[in-house]
Amino acid sequence: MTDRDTLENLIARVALRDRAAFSALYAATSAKLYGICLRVLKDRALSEDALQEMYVKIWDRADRYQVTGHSPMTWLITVARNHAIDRLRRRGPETADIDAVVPVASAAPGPEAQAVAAGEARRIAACLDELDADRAAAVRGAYFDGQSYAQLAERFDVPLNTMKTWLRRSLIALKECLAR
Amino acid sequence: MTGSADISPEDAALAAEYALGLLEGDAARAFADRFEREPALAAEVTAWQVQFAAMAEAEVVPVAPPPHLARRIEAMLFPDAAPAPIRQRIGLWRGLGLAGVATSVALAAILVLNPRPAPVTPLVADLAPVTGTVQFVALYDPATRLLSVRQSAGEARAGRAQEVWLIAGEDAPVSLGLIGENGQLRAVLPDALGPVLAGATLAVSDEPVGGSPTGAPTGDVLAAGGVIEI
Repeated sequence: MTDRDTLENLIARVALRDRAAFSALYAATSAKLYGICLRVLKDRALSEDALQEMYVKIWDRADRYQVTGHSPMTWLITVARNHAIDRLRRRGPETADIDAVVPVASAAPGPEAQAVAAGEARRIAACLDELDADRAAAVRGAYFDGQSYAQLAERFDVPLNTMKTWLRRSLIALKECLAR
Repeated sequence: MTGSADISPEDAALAAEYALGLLEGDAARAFADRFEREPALAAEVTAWQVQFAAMAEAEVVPVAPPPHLARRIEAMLFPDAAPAPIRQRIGLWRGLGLAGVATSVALAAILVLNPRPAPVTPLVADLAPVTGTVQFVALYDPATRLLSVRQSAGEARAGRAQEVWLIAGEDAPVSLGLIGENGQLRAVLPDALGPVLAGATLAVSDEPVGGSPTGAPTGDVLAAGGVIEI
């Protein structure tokens, strides 16, 4: 996988309308983002359309990247996931704008907080494994399938409030594990 | 995890719920109001986004998208750079340039393709019949980047689709979408297409249901016309 500095450099050049950089960024990242589209949308034609819209947005709004404070892959993955979930829900006008990836620019964490290192990916995988299988599945259902609390409660056959309590406790346990 | 250490467990869970899209309605609005004032809360949302992106990084298998998709995206973003050979394979579309001589006073502008600023005044095109009797009118609003194309006369062919194309200078036609059952197409164009629209040609081709299977026009040119400022 392409390293962080290379991707940041490509995104910066894309913001300056560098077409070669856009092609290189697409070559380096489209397989991961298409994988995310397929995981969320479970349909090739929809995923192709979503991926096309995403890269058009990335071209038009690459200058927004610097203010989000994310590492490049975190930014791209978050844009892809939000856009795909938005397509999935088809609720009125599009809401998953690139600007909505993070709530406010001023709250960006320091550089040491930004990296999505391989170690971080392993850690979240290990911490999800510490949760009961059902609860880890609920976290994944919300992230990858855009499931609401009502849908999760139905899926796991528990009352809505039980589902909420259950998932909140799991998220707190997840954070404690990640902080270790 | 690198969010704020002194945030309460309840707020940490709220931030995670927000990042997952689980907060709805009033709860989502109330939370969004809070992180305007509480940077620690916003940092917590960011930290959760990093964690969930790491989950996707670890668990989602990369799948190479089909090669035609890269071409489609680049043709849409960089219409002036589309490869000429595609266009040259379609002799039909060379004839269209001649049709343009008769119908468009903006031909000189079509042939001289220089980088231009995005238009600020609305653009229109009158798409006169080339094959058959269908006609269209098109309107582009630069403020919203919305292009509307509406069938103004003639009968659409049954069991066929009508696809709208932008032809800028010597470049390959770029698909803008299909005319719907209501006789209309409404599409928001990417930033890059705005500047090349004035002086370009809009055309509608006859295609199989679902549109051209190749990404280039395959059927009869039904109507075409030059785009002019008003």
